Amino acid sequence: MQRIQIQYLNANNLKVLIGNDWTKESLSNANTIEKEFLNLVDKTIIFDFINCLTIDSAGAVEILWIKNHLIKDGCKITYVNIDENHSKLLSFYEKNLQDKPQFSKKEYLFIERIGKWIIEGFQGVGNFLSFVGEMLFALLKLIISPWNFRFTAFIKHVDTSAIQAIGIITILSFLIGLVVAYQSAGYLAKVGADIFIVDISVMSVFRELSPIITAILITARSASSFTAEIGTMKITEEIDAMRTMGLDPFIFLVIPRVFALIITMPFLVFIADMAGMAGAYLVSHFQLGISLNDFIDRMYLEISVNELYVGLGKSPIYGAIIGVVGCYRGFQATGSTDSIGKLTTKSVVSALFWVIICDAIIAIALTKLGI
Amino acid sequence: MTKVINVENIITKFGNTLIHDDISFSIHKGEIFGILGGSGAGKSTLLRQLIMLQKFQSGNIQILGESLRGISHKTAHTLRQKWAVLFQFGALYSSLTVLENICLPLLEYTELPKGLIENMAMTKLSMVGLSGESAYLYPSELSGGMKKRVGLARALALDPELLFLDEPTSGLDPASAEAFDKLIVELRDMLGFSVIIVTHDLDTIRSALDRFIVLHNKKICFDGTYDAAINSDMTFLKEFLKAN
Repeated sequence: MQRIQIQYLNANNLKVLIGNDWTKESLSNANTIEKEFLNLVDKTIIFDFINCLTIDSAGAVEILWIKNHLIKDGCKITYVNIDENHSKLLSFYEKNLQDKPQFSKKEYLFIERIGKWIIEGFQGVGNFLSFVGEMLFALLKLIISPWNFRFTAFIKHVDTSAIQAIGIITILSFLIGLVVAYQSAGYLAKVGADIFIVDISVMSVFRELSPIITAILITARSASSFTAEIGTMKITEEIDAMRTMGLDPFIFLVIPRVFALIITMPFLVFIADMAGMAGAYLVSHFQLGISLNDFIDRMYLEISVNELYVGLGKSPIYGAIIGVVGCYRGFQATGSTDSIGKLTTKSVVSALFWVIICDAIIAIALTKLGI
Repeated sequence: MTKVINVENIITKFGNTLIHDDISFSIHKGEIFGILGGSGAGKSTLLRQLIMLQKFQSGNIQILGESLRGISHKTAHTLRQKWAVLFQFGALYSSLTVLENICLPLLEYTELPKGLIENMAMTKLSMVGLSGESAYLYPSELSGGMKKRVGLARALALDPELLFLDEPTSGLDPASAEAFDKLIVELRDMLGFSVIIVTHDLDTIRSALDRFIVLHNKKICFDGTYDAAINSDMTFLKEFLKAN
């Protein structure tokens, strides 16, 4: 049995036999409006339901769309032999038929998109500055009344962000120190400058590698978790609840997190330095036969302690960047849960970006200053 | 009347805590059936067991002639297409628009042309009382009541034989709640499905339910119509229906 059969009674009168089943199954892969109906204009058409057994919502909507299409082309439609239930169902669906509205997404010109991009960029900078401003204001309040500092929260973040990260930082820094020394060992042995392995590893590890590796690991662990934690609190209205209770979310959430990172970063970098040195010494010893005494003497005599101080000194700045960016992105969360995923990505990427920019600026400044 | 759901001697335990102790009831075709009870009485647990989200320790549940005990994956899959669930907060997929949310089951389970699916989705949207303007909104841009309506439209997408509603009127204002109850009754009259509602909204109990059970002290303390319930002389039942 065909789903639909058209019989011409005469030139202007047609009969449309509606088939047995008008269901989701029987309409599979059908064209939305059957081709046969496309060029019927100003006809009188009878829809004969005599064979029709089942109609579901798909069938009803399809029949009604064909009907509306025909009416638009000036045809007159009547139903015959229709079951009472089917007639009720069709009129129920007919009442609820509505067109899909035009999707009015505005197409922007290239120049408009550039303009939008620049304006959004400036707005982003503005938002970030106002965030930092609010944070500094909270800091000011804390300086005036230091007993408001959330010490428990601070300790908790020291534990989760720093103490729990010591293991991974030690292992990775050890490996980095080992690799740097190993890469240079062969070359130095060739030119007979074995002992310079100490200079190379100490300078690169203390000055650059340890702070950067630590910053990368802390960004991955903490910037992402700060954004996700604060973002979730924003969406579940916990932050609004704090504000209405007169509790400053910056004092409760932001300052403890940022301070935890600022204060623990130098310690973490120091641990990374020691682990890196252990790796470097291991290679020097087994590859080039340098004894522990020689290694330490060389460090003591030839290398300025500034190398260590530079690395440790810039790490709190990285900690501040990571903490502030992580919290700032969390506060940007709005509405739905999928914004948190996007913001976490953004938070990690922009924290790393600014850490490395900052590293470059410090490197240039220190060279100019001759440190 | 044919039974669409038959629950026999269900016993549920969480660890050592007994939740349901020997519960039996049945639901008929075309009925609007309520599962009532105080907070923590195990209403939602019972609902989750009916829709196969949670296991039960003993007893059996038969839905549309299939026994849920030891059900095969294939039968479970076909059964899941015959029913639809409206969760308490709509549970709309937040990354999809309203229209995409309603189209999703149709796109996944039918081979219908895209145009017809969208026409159907727009019709379902109108059936639950929403105009076309909301079609391209995301769930985060909808109010609580609208989310529930869209959730209902999505539930109706595949013309289910059974509709499960978890607290459909909670969080709605009285007028919207009344309209929602009317909508459920109207759709049931028109489309002939059976509805299982978990609720403690007294207006819903009075105006929408054909029959209900009340869970109390791990057992069913009442099974019948609203009129029978208010005329019964059980003090708990009277308090329950009044206090709500």
